[in-house]
Amino acid sequence: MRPRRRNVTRSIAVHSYKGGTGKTTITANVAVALALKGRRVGVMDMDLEGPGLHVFFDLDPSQLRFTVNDVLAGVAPPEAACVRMSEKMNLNGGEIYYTPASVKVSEIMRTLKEGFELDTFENAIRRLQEKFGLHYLLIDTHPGIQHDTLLALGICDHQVVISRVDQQDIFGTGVLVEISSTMDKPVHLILNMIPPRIRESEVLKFARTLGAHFTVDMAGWLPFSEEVIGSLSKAILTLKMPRNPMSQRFRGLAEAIESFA
Amino acid sequence: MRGSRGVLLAVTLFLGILVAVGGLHKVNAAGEGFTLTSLPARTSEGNASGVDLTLSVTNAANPGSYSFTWTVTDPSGGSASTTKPVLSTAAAWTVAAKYPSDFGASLNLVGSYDVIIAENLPSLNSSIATGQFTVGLTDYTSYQRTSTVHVEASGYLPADNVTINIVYGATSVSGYPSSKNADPTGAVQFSWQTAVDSALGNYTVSLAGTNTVAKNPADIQQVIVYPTNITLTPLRTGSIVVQRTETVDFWFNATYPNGAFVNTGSAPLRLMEPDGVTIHTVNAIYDLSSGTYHAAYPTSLTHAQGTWTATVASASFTDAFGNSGPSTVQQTSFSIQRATLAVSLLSSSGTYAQGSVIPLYTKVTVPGNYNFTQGAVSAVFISSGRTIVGPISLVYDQSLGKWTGSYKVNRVDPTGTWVVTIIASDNYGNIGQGTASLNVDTQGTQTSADLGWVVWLLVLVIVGLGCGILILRRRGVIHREVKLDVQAIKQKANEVKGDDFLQSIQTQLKRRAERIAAEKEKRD
Repeated sequence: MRPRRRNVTRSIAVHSYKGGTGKTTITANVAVALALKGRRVGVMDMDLEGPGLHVFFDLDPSQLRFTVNDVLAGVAPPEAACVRMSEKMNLNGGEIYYTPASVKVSEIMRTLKEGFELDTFENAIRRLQEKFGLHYLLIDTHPGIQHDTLLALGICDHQVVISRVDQQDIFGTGVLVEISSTMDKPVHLILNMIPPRIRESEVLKFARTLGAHFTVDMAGWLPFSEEVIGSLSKAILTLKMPRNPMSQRFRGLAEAIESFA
Repeated sequence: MRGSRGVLLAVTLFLGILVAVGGLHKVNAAGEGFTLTSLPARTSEGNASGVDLTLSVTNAANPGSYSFTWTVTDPSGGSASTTKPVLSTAAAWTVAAKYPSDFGASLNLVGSYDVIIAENLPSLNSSIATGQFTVGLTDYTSYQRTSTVHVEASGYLPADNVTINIVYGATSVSGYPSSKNADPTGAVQFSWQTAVDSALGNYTVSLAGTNTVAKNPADIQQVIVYPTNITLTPLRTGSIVVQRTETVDFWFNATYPNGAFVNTGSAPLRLMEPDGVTIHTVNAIYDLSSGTYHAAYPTSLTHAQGTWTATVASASFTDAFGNSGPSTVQQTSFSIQRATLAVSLLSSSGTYAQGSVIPLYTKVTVPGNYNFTQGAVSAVFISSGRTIVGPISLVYDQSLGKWTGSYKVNRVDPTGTWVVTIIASDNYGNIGQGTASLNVDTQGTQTSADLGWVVWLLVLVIVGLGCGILILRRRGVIHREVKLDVQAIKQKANEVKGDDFLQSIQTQLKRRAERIAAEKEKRD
């Protein structure tokens, strides 16, 4: 285990221009991969319009007392909305502290309508960091370019943009990278769902092309996987099928995140 | 005395009623009963047998002497008589006179002949009984189509040229008028064969001699032609037992009274389901090739099982001219059973290794010999009596006309001969299955058994070509399909960068950075 300094939490916003890019799947699997390495990982669902992480973690947010919506509204402290997943997931010494988003329509609408301040968000992150001694805080955002996601991008130390290799997604990813660069945050790219007919060398060549025009570096790429699709967002492959080639890929992404400067 | 008068009055009254009812009775004063019978009541001209005019006497004096005179008035008004004495030896007896032979007369005129009998002895009575008989030209007055109308006339000069005509409405029927010479006795005979399509209704038959003095009344008579009855042979079916989707064939022959086969029109067959309520109808039409009436009823996978009844109702068969039949119901039965589906599995003869996919292409056909497309088809793999996997659902591929599926051989699967059983079924109890065997080897690598080196070489060439094409196709897929329009991206990003909210965030971030820097400086 590589030692990390206490109180230096790396907050990472996981974002995409379009929905369905595998953003949440990657967030859940990388979080588990990091935890299995002994890291203390916070996972926050900031996809306030369409939360989905709770499905991977097999939790029903409506049964919880508080969610991140309550935190952003100033109703509850961040740690009160945080669920420790380690024992349930048997993470071998690592920790996952999961902050779900509300699935109640009324609360979703309230949060989107009232909005929240950068400081509120930042304080919440700092509180979690201090309370749980996190190594990483992965923030799953809502796809697209909206106020809440811009806030998340602004507050995090790193931005990971997930993109598929299609015309629309690449265009939007380019726009996202351009905007993120104005916040002086390192932006990392993960190309996902690469069709089998495309070779790795070509993926890397494309990533280099992007890097030549935009301030972004390649964090990794993932092939299209029927196992991942077939899991129907109900299972974290890295945990359930650790020997699966895709689990290996997710562990590779975790390694890449650990190498973020 | 008063008692005997009462008896006489009663007998007289009784006999009077008999006369009123029968129209032929009269009673003489002595108490005898008289009845006149004309046989036949109708005949045609020149009938050599004549007409028997029989007088029946009851309650006659015994012994006693009787004498009667018959007088017949023909349609022209002329009359002829004959007298016959009778020696009574019983209480009841008959005496007859034959017209025209006993009268010295003839049967040469059409119309009604009136008969009156007078008693000469023992009493004198001018009319003890009366009657009638009719003389015409034809053997009957009405005919079914296809029947033959026999015409017989007499009273013409020997060898006289007689004109014959048969008229329907104002038009002579085909072949008429015609002419024929009378025979040496002055008689003329001919026949008219009605047809299946003869017009229905009244026809007028008339004859007229060339040299013979015109008859009074003339030889004219009407006949009526009716539709004919069609007779059906028993209704038969090609198969007493059929499976669903097979076609049930029915056939029968239809004939006219003259024996000619019917070849027009149709008959509805009523097919009754085993529930005795539900009725289906199919039409039987004439099949030129077999010369029969034929109906085909295709059954489906959902038809009710059990015994069905096929019926041709009476008078339901109608030919093209309005003739109908049969006079009695024709009926047969047949049984529908569930369909046994034919399952043929198109399997490869190769050996399947770990990781290889066993394709399942299955053709399922119904007994009616078309594809089974609705239902469930599944496969079960068995090896050494143990189920390896299954049931695996197969899906119908419309373009292939087959049910398809596959199974990928796992590392843990046993090596050896596998039997795959395909079972096809539906919700209606139709079912079928087929099996095939294949070899599986999970110990070695994926290979194909029984391939000669030539086949191997061919496979390698094909694989090589395929790989080459694949590599060529894969080269530059992203660059070919995804255009990286940097200028457009930057232009779009600049639009967002101008957004107030983003600028607000940037301002907050800047202040935050300054605050952190100040705190750090303060700490230092």
